[in-house]
Amino acid sequence: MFSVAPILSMDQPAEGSATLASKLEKLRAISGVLQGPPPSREALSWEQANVSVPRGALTEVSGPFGSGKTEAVVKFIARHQDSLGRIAWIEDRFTAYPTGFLQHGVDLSRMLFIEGGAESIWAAHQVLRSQVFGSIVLFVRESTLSASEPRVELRRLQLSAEQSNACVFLLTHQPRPQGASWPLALQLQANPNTRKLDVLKKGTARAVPGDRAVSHVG
Amino acid sequence: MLRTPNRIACILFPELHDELPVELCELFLRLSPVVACRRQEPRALFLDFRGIDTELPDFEKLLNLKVKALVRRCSETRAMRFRIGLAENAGFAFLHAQHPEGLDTKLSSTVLDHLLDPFAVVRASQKQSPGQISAWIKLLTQLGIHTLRDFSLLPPGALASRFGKNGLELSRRIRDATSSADLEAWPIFVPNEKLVESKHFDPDRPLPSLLDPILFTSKELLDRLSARLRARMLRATAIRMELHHEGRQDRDPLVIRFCTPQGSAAGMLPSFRERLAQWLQRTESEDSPLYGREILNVTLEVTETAPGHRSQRDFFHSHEDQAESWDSLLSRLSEKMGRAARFQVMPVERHLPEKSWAPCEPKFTPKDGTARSELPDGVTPEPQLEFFATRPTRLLREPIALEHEDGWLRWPDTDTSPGRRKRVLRWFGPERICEGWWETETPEQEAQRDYFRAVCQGGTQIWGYFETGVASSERECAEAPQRFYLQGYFD
Repeated sequence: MFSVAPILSMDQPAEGSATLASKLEKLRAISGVLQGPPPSREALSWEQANVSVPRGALTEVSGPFGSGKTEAVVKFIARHQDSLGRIAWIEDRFTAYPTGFLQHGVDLSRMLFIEGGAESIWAAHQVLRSQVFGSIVLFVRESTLSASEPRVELRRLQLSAEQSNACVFLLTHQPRPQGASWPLALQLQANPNTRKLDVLKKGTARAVPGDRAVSHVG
Repeated sequence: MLRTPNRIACILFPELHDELPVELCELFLRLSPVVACRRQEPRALFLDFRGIDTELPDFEKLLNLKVKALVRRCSETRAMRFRIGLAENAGFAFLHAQHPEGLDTKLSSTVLDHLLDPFAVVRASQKQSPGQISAWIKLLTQLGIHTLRDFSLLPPGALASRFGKNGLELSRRIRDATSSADLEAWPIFVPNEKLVESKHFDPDRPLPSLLDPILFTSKELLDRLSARLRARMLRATAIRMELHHEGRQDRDPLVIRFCTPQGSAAGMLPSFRERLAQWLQRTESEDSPLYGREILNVTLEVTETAPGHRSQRDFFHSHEDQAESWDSLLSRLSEKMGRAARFQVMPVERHLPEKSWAPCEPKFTPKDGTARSELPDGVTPEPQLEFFATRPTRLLREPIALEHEDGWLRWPDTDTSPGRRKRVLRWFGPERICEGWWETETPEQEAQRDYFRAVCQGGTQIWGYFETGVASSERECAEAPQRFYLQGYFD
């Protein structure tokens, strides 16, 4: 039987805040039934594309209508919904079919849908700033994004994503041209014939090194 | 002692097109504790006088005078005309108010609708459609039944099978017209609760019109308001302050809005200090009508609130913080894009794809990784609703009718370009969906669709339907020269 008393013993001399923090961690670990593990900062593996999806960065999934990009993202969400936590699904004009999501095993009570119109990017920033969501799926038409400077908009979005450590998926019809300095950590393209994801780009889109670096899978 | 008969009064406002003013409804609470409003045109107020013992020989005349006085008191509605109808139940009171020259008991769709639903609270889906009521009246006229009285004489046993539950209910209401048995559930008007705190000062010892004394008094009032808000799990987002200066009839209002909802006096006072200092600066000039006047009364009223959460943090969870962030996010999104733009989704047990889900108000649930599913992370959950064919992930709001010929689908022409064509390589289906036959009047209005998943040239997978009977197999599909209604994409 595990005893709580030694961990909380107040007889011992103060050992600094680091020791106290570790004791609190232990105490939280005991109550792990309630708390669960701390939020992961690891990248999440996406077997369908054989890559890892970084947290705190933008992942673009492109493909024409009916190519299977949304389906791939929905399957990924269903597979990692405990790690992703709450999910915000933002579209400028709502065409998602939640019953289809349900069939893939997505827990709809974790999802907040937003029909943002021209304010979709603004809504994405608000969601990221709230720090309540672990993932965002953003589906905006090119016309909505092009209303301002798309590169600057995406850079801002990437910074917000980095601060909130959330996975941000951008669903688009056309992939952004490669070689240009788009702030995308991962670019995938849905192949309608094979219904698989082709990797166009993988790499780090952030300047912050460390535990949140994108893992490269060959 | 006379006893007023059990009565329901209906005050009809035939010229009022907007909602009934709340102030007017509140005034009528002086006449009866049970007041209900009709939320649709024609607007009306219902007062319940049942069980009130009075010694009033001419109740109707007195009621007329009282109502006239109350309507006049409500300044905005001074010119509002009204008519009073008195009866033993709400439906008949409403009809009497509409026909002051004498109740027209001839059967008509309006009369039947008003009798069945005087408060206009029954949802449209549960009501009889105008077509059904017209069919009733036609049938009744053929049977020689022209008035409400004739209808009430029909044997109740035969009504349910001929006219459904509404017909039975209507007959009961007509028969009970002279009794007090009003089984109607009244949508009672409940006035909004006001959170107001005030402090009076003796005219001999008034409060000086200076920042610190006013803040000191406000602190006491804010403490009381905070306690009342806390009990209601609310926080204030706006507070209205009224100062009554000596020698002035009018009160001087000052609205203080907070950037984030506040639940304690400590959080509110900085904003108060700032706003009051600005306001007092303006009154310091000799031109100001408030110059040199002292204060006799300070009143604070909470005018806007936001949901509050426990201020004591949970040791093990951050749910309170997250719930606040969630509420704050929703309020920001609502303010910018409207409430309907952010929603959660609830599955609905309907077969038609467009009706199989419904948006609902977002609700905070602590699913941030602390409430975990039974499956370990990385394991794909079993798909739900396995007994249905796979549904797409995109659904169009309105199906697009595509011309289908020889295995080719042709999209409609646009203003700028002709419609594109795509060859269908493979059809998967059909999945027949028939729904709504119990809601429609004619078989033609029923939804009968054969859904197919079509794999087009280039790999695009679409989802749509033919009208039932056009193609019963995948092979027949390729040859069916009919319209294919594109409804979704396996995107």
